[in-house]
Amino acid sequence: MNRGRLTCGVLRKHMICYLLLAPTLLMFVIFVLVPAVQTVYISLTQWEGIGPKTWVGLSNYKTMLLGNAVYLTALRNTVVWTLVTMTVPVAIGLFQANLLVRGSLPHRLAKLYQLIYFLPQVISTVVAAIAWKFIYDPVMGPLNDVLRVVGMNQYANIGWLGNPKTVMTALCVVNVWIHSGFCCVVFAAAMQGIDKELYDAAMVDGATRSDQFWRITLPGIRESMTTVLVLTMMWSFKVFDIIWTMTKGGPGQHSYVFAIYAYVQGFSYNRLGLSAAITVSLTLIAMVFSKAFTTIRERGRY
Amino acid sequence: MKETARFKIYKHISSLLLVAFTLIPFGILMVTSLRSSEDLGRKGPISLPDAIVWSNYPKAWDLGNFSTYFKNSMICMAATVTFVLVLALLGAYVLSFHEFFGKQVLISVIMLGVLIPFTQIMIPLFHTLKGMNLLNTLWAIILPQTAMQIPFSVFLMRGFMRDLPKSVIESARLDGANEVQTLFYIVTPLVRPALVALLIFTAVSSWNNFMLPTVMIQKDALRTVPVGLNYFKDQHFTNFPMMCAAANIIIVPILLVYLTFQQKMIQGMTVGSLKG
Repeated sequence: MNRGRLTCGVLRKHMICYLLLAPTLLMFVIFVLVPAVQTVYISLTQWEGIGPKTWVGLSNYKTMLLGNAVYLTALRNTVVWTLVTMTVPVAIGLFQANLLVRGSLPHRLAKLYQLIYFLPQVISTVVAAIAWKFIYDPVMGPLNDVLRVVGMNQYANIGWLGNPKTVMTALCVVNVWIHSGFCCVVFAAAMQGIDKELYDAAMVDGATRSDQFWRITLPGIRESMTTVLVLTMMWSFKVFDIIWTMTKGGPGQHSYVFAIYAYVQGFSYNRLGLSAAITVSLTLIAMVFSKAFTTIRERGRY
Repeated sequence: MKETARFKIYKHISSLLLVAFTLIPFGILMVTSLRSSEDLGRKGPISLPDAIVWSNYPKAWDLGNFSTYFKNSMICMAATVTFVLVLALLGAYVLSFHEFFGKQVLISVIMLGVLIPFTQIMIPLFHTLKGMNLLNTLWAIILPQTAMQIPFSVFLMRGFMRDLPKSVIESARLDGANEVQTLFYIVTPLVRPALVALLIFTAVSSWNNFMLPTVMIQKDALRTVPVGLNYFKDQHFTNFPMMCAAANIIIVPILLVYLTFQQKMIQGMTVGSLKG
């Protein structure tokens, strides 16, 4: 059927395809693809944002990598952030989802819990930042008040976000608070798809609850698990909003991640070449990891 | 399975603890927004106010330009959603039902876009928009936001369109429908559930988008809700009750939408993972 048409107007048909694709493609090329490639070029130049770009080869990458403590801080923080986000909220989400789907809660209650767990995901990050900055505040914050009440006075005078030792932990807690609900919802949806008869059969065989979880539930949601892990990893690598709104990378540079480092270098110090080099390194790392993950996933299908 | 009493207690306590962990920050925002600064200073954060004070809300509303921020966010969201839906439908349609020269290359290039973080494009984008005289207009948010949604949206819609029976398209063509008619009258109604999910996903991402407007917008009159709220936060950080009131002003409309469309919103916001 189609072939007949193809022969009489191959060129015309290709033209129509391109015409229909043109708006989508143009937008993508102008605002995403070309800038993405330009960034690679900028990373090889010295440029203050105005005036000409001077070609400097790999020197931005050298500045970035060699003896640069800030880059290492950003790298370390990004890795910590990614590892924490890929484990703690995923574990909590798994626990929540298991309770919702397998905990034989009344249906309405389960729905209500899910609604609540997902709530932090819906509101803007800035709202979360306001609430948690207040909670952590050294003078007025409820957290230190609670610590004083329970008699842990020695910890109660810490400005949680102002102390280099605690700032990343404090930020990670906020991220756990935001992200768990997402994991919960995805896992719950997957768990509902698992054949109920498997559980019935297991019970006949005398399997305990934890047996059922490890042998039926967890294997049953493997696909969603991979997806959640990949998505979480992608989001974690490029995290910006929550850290910028809470600490702006501070105190000093102790909560720097790649995105903040690149933003500050690019837009506060006008070192656009260095900023571009930082972000190129981020993009490369993100691409390699997600490629590795999807490869593992494809293999896992057999 | 029979539930032992211990399991029941353990189940309910852990659910409640998790609910508490989620809700406490909201509770703190609520209580603090309804007291005066002096009251907070005197009684500490974990206490109920002597008297409920509503004045933080009008004060926050007057000091921040929230009506402007809401208007800007609405404009950006409406425009972005419209553009993304139309462009995703067009792109996914051509890439699902047609064979043409260079198709596979195009698909791989667009899919590469899913992996490009915003930082990778922000510097040249800033200068491109400056060159187009679009910097410090809402277009500087709408256009890149739309473009950045394209890879994911095309990927998503294509996934759904590929599941449609080919015969539907063929018969539409036999009946003499042209491409645009086939797309909008035959294909679009069939992928409506996916389209609704994409709409919600795009709307929420646009509404909450923070980094792009932070980079592109310097004028207060053009700030969107998250950026405006963040600016307000930095300006008035010592006045906690007023800040909490400002946060609540932002929460309330979103909460109403969420409570109205709960299941649809949850599905829409997790759409990527459900299809992937």
